[in-house]
Amino acid sequence: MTELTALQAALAAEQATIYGYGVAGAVLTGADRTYATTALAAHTVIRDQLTALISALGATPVAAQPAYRLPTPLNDTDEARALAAQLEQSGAGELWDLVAATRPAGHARALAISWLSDAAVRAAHWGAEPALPGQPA
Amino acid sequence: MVPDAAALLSARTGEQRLLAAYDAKIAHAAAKERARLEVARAIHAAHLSALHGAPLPSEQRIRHLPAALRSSAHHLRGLALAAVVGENAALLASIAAAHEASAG
Repeated sequence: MTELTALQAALAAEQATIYGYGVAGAVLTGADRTYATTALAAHTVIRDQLTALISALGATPVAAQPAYRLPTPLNDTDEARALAAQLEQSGAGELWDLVAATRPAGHARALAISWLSDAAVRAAHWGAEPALPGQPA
Repeated sequence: MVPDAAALLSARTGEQRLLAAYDAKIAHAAAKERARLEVARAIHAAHLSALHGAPLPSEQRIRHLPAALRSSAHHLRGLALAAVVGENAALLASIAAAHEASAG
Protein backbone atom coordinates (compact mmCIF):
# COMPACT_ATOMS: atom_id res chain seq x y z
CA MET A 1 0.00 0.00 0.00
CA THR A 2 1.36 3.45 -0.88
CA GLU A 3 1.41 6.30 1.61
CA LEU A 4 -1.18 8.18 -0.44
CA THR A 5 -3.55 5.21 -0.56
CA ALA A 6 -3.21 4.76 3.20
CA LEU A 7 -3.78 8.48 3.80
CA GLN A 8 -6.93 8.45 1.67
CA ALA A 9 -8.25 5.35 3.48
CA ALA A 10 -7.54 6.94 6.85
CA LEU A 11 -9.33 10.11 5.76
CA ALA A 12 -12.37 8.14 4.60
CA ALA A 13 -12.43 6.37 7.97
CA GLU A 14 -12.20 9.68 9.83
CA GLN A 15 -15.13 11.07 7.86
CA ALA A 16 -17.23 8.01 8.75
CA THR A 17 -16.12 8.27 12.39
CA ILE A 18 -17.10 11.94 12.58
CA TYR A 19 -20.54 11.08 11.21
CA GLY A 20 -20.87 8.16 13.63
CA TYR A 21 -19.88 10.24 16.66
CA GLY A 22 -22.45 12.82 15.65
CA VAL A 23 -25.16 10.17 15.71
CA ALA A 24 -23.88 8.47 18.88
CA GLY A 25 -23.49 11.79 20.65
CA ALA A 26 -27.17 12.55 20.12
CA VAL A 27 -28.06 9.38 22.06
CA LEU A 28 -25.44 9.60 24.81
CA THR A 29 -25.95 11.63 27.96
CA GLY A 30 -23.93 13.16 30.78
CA ALA A 31 -20.21 12.38 30.97
CA ASP A 32 -20.40 10.03 27.99
CA ARG A 33 -21.82 12.80 25.85
CA THR A 34 -19.10 15.17 26.97
CA TYR A 35 -16.44 12.54 26.15
CA ALA A 36 -18.02 11.92 22.74
CA THR A 37 -18.01 15.65 22.02
CA THR A 38 -14.31 15.84 22.87
CA ALA A 39 -13.60 12.78 20.71
CA LEU A 40 -15.55 14.30 17.83
CA ALA A 41 -13.42 17.47 18.06
CA ALA A 42 -10.22 15.36 18.07
CA HIS A 43 -11.36 13.45 14.98
CA THR A 44 -12.17 16.71 13.22
CA VAL A 45 -8.58 17.86 13.79
CA ILE A 46 -7.23 14.52 12.47
CA ARG A 47 -9.46 14.82 9.39
CA ASP A 48 -8.07 18.28 8.68
CA GLN A 49 -4.48 17.10 9.17
CA LEU A 50 -5.04 14.14 6.82
CA THR A 51 -6.56 16.48 4.25
CA ALA A 52 -3.48 18.70 4.45
CA LEU A 53 -1.09 15.73 4.11
CA ILE A 54 -2.93 14.48 1.02
CA SER A 55 -3.02 17.93 -0.55
CA ALA A 56 0.71 18.32 0.11
CA LEU A 57 1.28 15.21 -2.01
CA GLY A 58 -0.56 16.91 -4.88
CA ALA A 59 -3.63 14.69 -4.63
CA THR A 60 -7.30 15.48 -4.11
CA PRO A 61 -8.59 14.36 -0.69
CA VAL A 62 -11.43 11.84 -0.87
CA ALA A 63 -14.80 13.52 -0.30
CA ALA A 64 -17.06 12.67 2.62
CA GLN A 65 -20.30 10.82 1.93
CA PRO A 66 -23.60 12.60 2.69
CA ALA A 67 -24.43 9.78 5.14
CA TYR A 68 -23.03 6.43 6.31
CA ARG A 69 -24.60 3.10 7.14
CA LEU A 70 -23.95 2.52 10.85
CA PRO A 71 -22.14 -0.74 11.64
CA THR A 72 -24.29 -1.44 14.70
CA PRO A 73 -27.89 -0.65 15.71
CA LEU A 74 -28.42 2.51 17.73
CA ASN A 75 -31.40 2.50 20.06
CA ASP A 76 -29.95 3.26 23.47
CA THR A 77 -26.86 4.46 25.30
CA ASP A 78 -25.29 0.98 25.48
CA GLU A 79 -25.51 0.70 21.70
CA ALA A 80 -24.16 4.22 21.30
CA ARG A 81 -21.14 3.28 23.44
CA ALA A 82 -20.68 0.11 21.37
CA LEU A 83 -20.84 2.18 18.18
CA ALA A 84 -18.22 4.59 19.50
CA ALA A 85 -15.94 1.66 20.40
CA GLN A 86 -16.38 0.17 16.96
CA LEU A 87 -15.68 3.49 15.26
CA GLU A 88 -12.41 3.84 17.15
CA GLN A 89 -11.36 0.28 16.39
CA SER A 90 -12.20 0.61 12.73
CA GLY A 91 -10.21 3.83 12.49
CA ALA A 92 -7.30 2.16 14.31
CA GLY A 93 -7.18 -0.41 11.53
CA GLU A 94 -6.60 2.31 8.96
CA LEU A 95 -3.97 3.90 11.20
CA TRP A 96 -2.06 0.60 11.46
CA ASP A 97 -1.89 0.60 7.66
CA LEU A 98 -0.86 4.25 7.63
CA VAL A 99 2.00 3.67 10.08
CA ALA A 100 3.16 0.75 7.93
CA ALA A 101 2.96 2.77 4.70
CA THR A 102 4.84 5.86 5.86
CA ARG A 103 8.55 6.68 5.82
CA PRO A 104 10.70 6.15 8.92
CA ALA A 105 11.04 9.34 10.97
CA GLY A 106 8.59 11.14 8.71
CA HIS A 107 5.93 13.63 9.81
CA ALA A 108 3.06 11.44 8.57
CA ARG A 109 4.32 8.42 10.53
CA ALA A 110 4.74 10.46 13.70
CA LEU A 111 1.15 11.68 13.40
CA ALA A 112 -0.19 8.19 12.63
CA ILE A 113 1.59 6.71 15.68
CA SER A 114 0.13 9.40 17.92
CA TRP A 115 -3.38 9.01 16.44
CA LEU A 116 -3.24 5.22 16.94
CA SER A 117 -2.44 5.68 20.64
CA ASP A 118 -5.26 8.19 21.03
CA ALA A 119 -7.69 5.83 19.28
CA ALA A 120 -6.73 2.98 21.64
CA VAL A 121 -7.27 5.20 24.68
CA ARG A 122 -10.71 6.25 23.40
CA ALA A 123 -11.66 2.66 22.50
CA ALA A 124 -10.69 1.58 26.03
CA HIS A 125 -12.90 4.34 27.43
CA TRP A 126 -15.81 2.82 25.47
CA GLY A 127 -15.00 -0.65 26.77
CA ALA A 128 -12.89 -2.13 23.96
CA GLU A 129 -9.29 -2.99 24.81
CA PRO A 130 -7.80 -5.25 22.13
CA ALA A 131 -4.27 -6.57 22.70
CA LEU A 132 -3.06 -5.06 19.44
CA PRO A 133 -5.13 -2.01 18.41
CA GLY A 134 -5.57 -1.78 14.66
CA GLN A 135 -3.97 -5.13 13.86
CA PRO A 136 -5.49 -6.63 10.70
CA ALA A 137 -7.72 -9.63 11.41
CA MET B 1 21.48 -8.00 10.15
CA VAL B 2 17.69 -8.27 10.42
CA PRO B 3 16.05 -4.85 9.96
CA ASP B 4 14.81 -3.34 13.22
CA ALA B 5 16.40 -6.19 15.22
CA ALA B 6 17.52 -3.88 18.04
CA ALA B 7 14.11 -2.22 18.25
CA LEU B 8 12.29 -5.54 18.39
CA LEU B 9 14.70 -6.87 21.03
CA SER B 10 14.15 -3.75 23.12
CA ALA B 11 10.37 -4.17 22.81
CA ARG B 12 10.62 -7.85 23.81
CA THR B 13 12.75 -7.04 26.86
CA GLY B 14 10.28 -4.36 27.95
CA GLU B 15 7.36 -6.72 27.57
CA GLN B 16 9.14 -9.45 29.57
CA ARG B 17 9.77 -6.92 32.33
CA LEU B 18 6.10 -5.89 32.39
CA LEU B 19 4.94 -9.51 32.44
CA ALA B 20 7.21 -10.24 35.39
CA ALA B 21 5.74 -7.23 37.18
CA TYR B 22 2.20 -8.48 36.56
CA ASP B 23 3.17 -11.95 37.82
CA ALA B 24 4.53 -10.44 41.02
CA LYS B 25 1.38 -8.38 41.55
CA ILE B 26 -0.93 -11.32 40.75
CA ALA B 27 0.85 -13.49 43.32
CA HIS B 28 -0.10 -11.07 46.10
CA ALA B 29 -3.47 -9.81 44.84
CA ALA B 30 -6.92 -10.46 46.27
CA ALA B 31 -9.26 -12.55 44.09
CA LYS B 32 -11.14 -9.63 42.50
CA GLU B 33 -7.98 -7.67 41.75
CA ARG B 34 -6.27 -10.85 40.51
CA ALA B 35 -8.93 -11.34 37.81
CA ARG B 36 -8.36 -7.81 36.49
CA LEU B 37 -4.60 -8.22 36.55
CA GLU B 38 -4.79 -11.55 34.72
CA VAL B 39 -6.76 -9.91 31.89
CA ALA B 40 -4.09 -7.21 31.63
CA ARG B 41 -1.32 -9.82 31.82
CA ALA B 42 -2.91 -11.71 28.90
CA ILE B 43 -2.68 -8.56 26.78
CA HIS B 44 1.06 -8.30 27.45
CA ALA B 45 1.52 -12.00 26.79
CA ALA B 46 -0.09 -11.39 23.39
CA HIS B 47 2.36 -8.54 22.78
CA LEU B 48 5.30 -10.76 23.64
CA SER B 49 3.98 -13.48 21.37
CA ALA B 50 3.59 -10.99 18.50
CA LEU B 51 7.22 -10.01 19.09
CA HIS B 52 8.24 -13.70 18.99
CA GLY B 53 9.44 -13.67 22.58
CA ALA B 54 8.88 -15.87 25.62
CA PRO B 55 8.30 -14.88 29.25
CA LEU B 56 11.45 -14.62 31.36
CA PRO B 57 11.95 -13.78 35.02
CA SER B 58 13.06 -10.22 35.51
CA GLU B 59 15.26 -8.91 38.31
CA GLN B 60 14.05 -5.34 37.76
CA ARG B 61 11.28 -4.27 40.11
CA ILE B 62 8.36 -2.17 38.87
CA ARG B 63 6.57 -0.40 41.68
CA HIS B 64 4.07 1.69 39.75
CA LEU B 65 2.62 -0.11 36.75
CA PRO B 66 0.72 2.83 35.16
CA ALA B 67 3.92 4.91 35.12
CA ALA B 68 5.88 1.98 33.69
CA LEU B 69 3.23 1.49 31.00
CA ARG B 70 3.32 5.16 30.01
CA SER B 71 7.10 5.14 29.91
CA SER B 72 7.03 1.98 27.78
CA ALA B 73 4.46 3.53 25.42
CA HIS B 74 6.73 6.57 24.94
CA HIS B 75 9.75 4.34 24.27
CA LEU B 76 7.83 2.14 21.82
CA ARG B 77 6.50 5.15 19.89
CA GLY B 78 10.10 6.22 19.35
CA LEU B 79 11.03 2.75 18.12
CA ALA B 80 7.99 2.71 15.79
CA LEU B 81 8.91 6.09 14.34
CA ALA B 82 12.41 4.90 13.46
CA ALA B 83 11.56 1.35 12.30
CA VAL B 84 12.72 0.61 8.75
CA VAL B 85 10.13 -2.07 7.98
CA GLY B 86 6.57 -0.73 7.88
CA GLU B 87 4.97 -3.78 9.51
CA ASN B 88 7.47 -3.58 12.38
CA ALA B 89 6.59 0.09 12.81
CA ALA B 90 2.87 -0.72 12.91
CA LEU B 91 3.36 -3.54 15.43
CA LEU B 92 5.47 -1.36 17.74
CA ALA B 93 3.00 1.52 17.42
CA SER B 94 0.10 -0.81 18.22
CA ILE B 95 1.81 -2.16 21.34
CA ALA B 96 2.56 1.42 22.39
CA ALA B 97 -1.11 2.27 21.90
CA ALA B 98 -2.18 -0.71 24.02
CA HIS B 99 0.21 0.30 26.79
CA GLU B 100 -1.13 3.86 26.73
CA ALA B 101 -4.69 2.54 26.97
CA SER B 102 -3.77 0.14 29.80
CA ALA B 103 -2.10 2.92 31.77
CA GLY B 104 -5.52 4.52 32.16
